[in-house]
Amino acid sequence: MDYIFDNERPIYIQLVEMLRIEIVSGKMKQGERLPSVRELALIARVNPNTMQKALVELEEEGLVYTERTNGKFVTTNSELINNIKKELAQEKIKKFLNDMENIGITCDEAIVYLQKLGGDINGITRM
Amino acid sequence: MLGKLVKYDLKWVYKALIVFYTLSFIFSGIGRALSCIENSIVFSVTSSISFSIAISMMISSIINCIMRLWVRFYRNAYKDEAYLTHTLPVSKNKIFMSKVICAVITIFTTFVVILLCLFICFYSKSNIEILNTLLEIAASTYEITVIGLILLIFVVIFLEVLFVALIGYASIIIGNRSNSSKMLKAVISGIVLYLITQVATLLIIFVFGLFNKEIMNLINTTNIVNIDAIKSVMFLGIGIYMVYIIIYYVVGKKLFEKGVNVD
Amino acid sequence: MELLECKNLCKEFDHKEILKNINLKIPKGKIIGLLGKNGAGKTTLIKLINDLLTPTSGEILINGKNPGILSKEIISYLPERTYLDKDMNIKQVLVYFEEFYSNFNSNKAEKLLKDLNLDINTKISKMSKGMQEKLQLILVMSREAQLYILDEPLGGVDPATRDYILDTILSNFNEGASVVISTHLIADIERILDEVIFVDNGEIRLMSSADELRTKEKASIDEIFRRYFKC
Repeated sequence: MDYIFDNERPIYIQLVEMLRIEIVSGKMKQGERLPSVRELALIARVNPNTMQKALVELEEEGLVYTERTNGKFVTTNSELINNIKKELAQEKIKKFLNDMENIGITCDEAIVYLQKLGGDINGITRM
Repeated sequence: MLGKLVKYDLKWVYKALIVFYTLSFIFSGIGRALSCIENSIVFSVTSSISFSIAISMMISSIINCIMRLWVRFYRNAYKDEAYLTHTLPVSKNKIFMSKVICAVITIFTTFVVILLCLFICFYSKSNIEILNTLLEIAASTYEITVIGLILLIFVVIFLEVLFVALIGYASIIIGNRSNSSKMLKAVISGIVLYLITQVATLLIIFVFGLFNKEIMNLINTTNIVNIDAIKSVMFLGIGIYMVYIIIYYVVGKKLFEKGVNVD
Repeated sequence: MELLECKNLCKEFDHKEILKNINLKIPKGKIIGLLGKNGAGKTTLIKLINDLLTPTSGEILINGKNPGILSKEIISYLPERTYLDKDMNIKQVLVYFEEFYSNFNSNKAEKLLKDLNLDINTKISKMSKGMQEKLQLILVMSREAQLYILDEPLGGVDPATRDYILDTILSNFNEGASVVISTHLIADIERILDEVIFVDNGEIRLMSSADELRTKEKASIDEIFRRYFKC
């Protein structure tokens, strides 16, 4: 994954968001051991302190847990992961519908558009 | 740490000096070898040329030695390299002391090389005899041994050169304490320091003369110089140079320890 | 005790104030950006900390002590200049660092040099300025120091080199150590900073955690800096 940051928002918040997506999407598997803070920081090319802060945040959310001697692991709590996935989806849809509204497309119309384009979702992303 | 500093300083100074040493030896050798071939004008001319080149190389090695000592100090302590020198975990005192030790060693070896080269150039039984008688005459008038006399001359010249090197160090330090045209100020303070010191020397000799008639005669009269007086002045000179060297070392060290002002 | 502290630090050159009453504390374990335009006084401050200049008044404390042998032992400093003896080759330079710095890790340096494909027998005078700067960065980052002070490490480099430099800094600084990076190229570097210090006209204008500042001003550090110092 490419870590591209928007300098206008706190980096650790963006890291939390990115890592959260990695976990709920299954790119980081349940129960998988995370690399060390330093390694993660290097991969993302950020300050280890910032990465540490992001991990603390994820830990508070419960997505990551620490085993005292072995390091950090991705949670095995599928329910939690699913909940967060749902929350994320809701957030994105809300934002999407909001955007649609801004260009004068109602919720119902948006659904129609989505159904129409659904079969060619890749086409859309490439647009 | 001091040893390591001295090692790198010596390496740098000798790097070029060694070339002059080698050339001095080579031309002394060539000159000497050619001079042994008798009855040949060509050879004796080339031999003389070789000797003169050898001697100019010997002079160059002294000049080069002092110049390189100064350049090394200037670059190492005040130019780009200063950013490394002054961030080494070493005290400023040791950095300065290393430069002084390096000066003592390199100037000493330069003198030894010159003596050896002169020996190669001109050593012959007859020359040595001439030299011996000259020295013996001198030594007897000076009331010391021949070896003592040679040592005395050697020590005086050595101290003089070392003293000049230290004046250079002190001037570089003084020049670099200001914020602009540092090099110019260093050169000017060098000349001023040298002149002041020389005037001071005359004054000291004069003061000594107040208590020592022979020395006073040396200053007052245009009569034939009294050998005893010269001898006293020689010893006085050694003493004065030693004091100067210590003074310049201490002053340089104190100013250097106060901190550098690197561009 | 702070890793580095400046108390009422002033520096004048010929009665011209270059630094005015600097008060500054740098804690352990942070990456700090010393941000300011060219000529703001960043380099003067860094040179004072590294004992290349002496303060006109005020005090600098490193682990509670004035600059000296002890501070030089724990500070690894990358100046803007190329400071190596041009007559040496890389191998000799490594030996030199090993001899003088007890915390120099020559294995690390050799490994980093290998990544650059640099022949260890290359003479410094035969290297381009850019290469010399990379070599110096490697030397500085190979010391297991407590404080790294990097003066304009990104000045005039291409994007690929910039990434190389940032990666080298991030992957090599000693754990628990602090890194002070002075620069006027803020956008390139801001994402790795914990704290930022704005310096202008010889004064510290702002000190803040980078993320707090972003949250408060809803803008990038670069943007905030521009707002502060509109020319």
